[in-house]
Amino acid sequence: MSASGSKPRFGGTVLNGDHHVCAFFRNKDEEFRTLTPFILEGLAADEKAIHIINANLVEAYRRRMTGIGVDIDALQRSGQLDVTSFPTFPQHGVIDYDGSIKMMDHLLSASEESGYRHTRVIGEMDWVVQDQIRDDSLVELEARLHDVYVRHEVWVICAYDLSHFNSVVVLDIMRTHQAAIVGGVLQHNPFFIPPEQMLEELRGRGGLVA
Amino acid sequence: MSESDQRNCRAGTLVDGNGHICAFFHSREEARRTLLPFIVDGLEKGEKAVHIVNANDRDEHLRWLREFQIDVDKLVQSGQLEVFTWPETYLRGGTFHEQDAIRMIDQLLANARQEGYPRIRGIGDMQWTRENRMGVEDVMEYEARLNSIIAGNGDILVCAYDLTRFSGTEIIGVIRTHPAAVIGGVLQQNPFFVPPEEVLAELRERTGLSRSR
Repeated sequence: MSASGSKPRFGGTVLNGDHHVCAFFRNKDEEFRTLTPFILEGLAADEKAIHIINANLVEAYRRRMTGIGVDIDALQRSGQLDVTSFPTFPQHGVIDYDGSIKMMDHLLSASEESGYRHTRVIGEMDWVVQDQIRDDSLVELEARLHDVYVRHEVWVICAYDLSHFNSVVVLDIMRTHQAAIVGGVLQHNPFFIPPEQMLEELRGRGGLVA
Repeated sequence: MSESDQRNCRAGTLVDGNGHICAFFHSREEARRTLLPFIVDGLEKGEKAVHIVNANDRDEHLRWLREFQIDVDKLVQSGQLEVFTWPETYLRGGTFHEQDAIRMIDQLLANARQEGYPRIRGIGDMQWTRENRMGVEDVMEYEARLNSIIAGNGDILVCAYDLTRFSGTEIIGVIRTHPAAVIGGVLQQNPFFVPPEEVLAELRERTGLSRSR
């Protein structure tokens, strides 16, 4: 690995100053096909990997990772890989914002303290559907986590299965990420707005929880 | 006027060569607030305005334009403003024929040029795709092909989508077929645009041989 660190690529586009990326997929196959090179590249470069996977989807996740030759157990033992999920209050359809923010901040700081130069986070956003999280609650979490991510040496890809989300939330998600993967291609995202502006807009729509 | 409205006022310069624009709105109020400066700007520049609306909304649309000191009667009489309904355009004969719709738009552009207008600013309310009509499922093909007929000729067509009526999958399809987009009231070049041939090839692959063309 070069001193400048590895640069994640998708179809020739390099992820430069962007930390927080959303990715839209038609199905799990497309998602995995697209993200696999990004995951493997990071592991090969001795970067830290954090994968956010809903508890009931961990088995499928393990199968897919094993299928591409990744030894999850060994990586978890060595500390190079964390598999975790966000704390939620599913009975209310909302997310534990402070808990989630603290968790990510803590994981990313710990990874830096362990000597990892970069961290690659994959957030499989299926848990949002499983836990019946409200749309505005999800967008608020994305906006608030953004401030955490930009403080760290991290690339975060939030992976959305389009079949589960309506157009309002998809556009809001687009607007809370600095870059986006659409049709398997990564692009810097001109529709991104600062998180504070997004939260303001959500408040204006009368849909902000906090 | 907000900063984003001013941005839209300058749509003419921002979208040169990228005249096919999708615009996403959460409400009719947001749509009107965003589109008004764009409409006024075009009329003041002596450009042709073509608005395609739901038949039920036609009178209300004209009333709204009049509210902003737009002399609708004079503009309609001179031909500078034309307001069409869905059955007169996208849904002729009650169904959607993608190739007919493309020809219809092509004809509108040709007519405006013949009438001597420097440019068309068209606005289409895309809610017609939610109507229970035959053929509306071909809208993505239409959106993709439209790029071929307006590429680089200076005309501007805004396809207005009410977000509350579409799925996430559909909206990503719309984003991929328009080289520029208005989101949150701001017009931007759209890096997620995919050339029409690529979209059409994908659509063919997904729908198999169900469409024989």
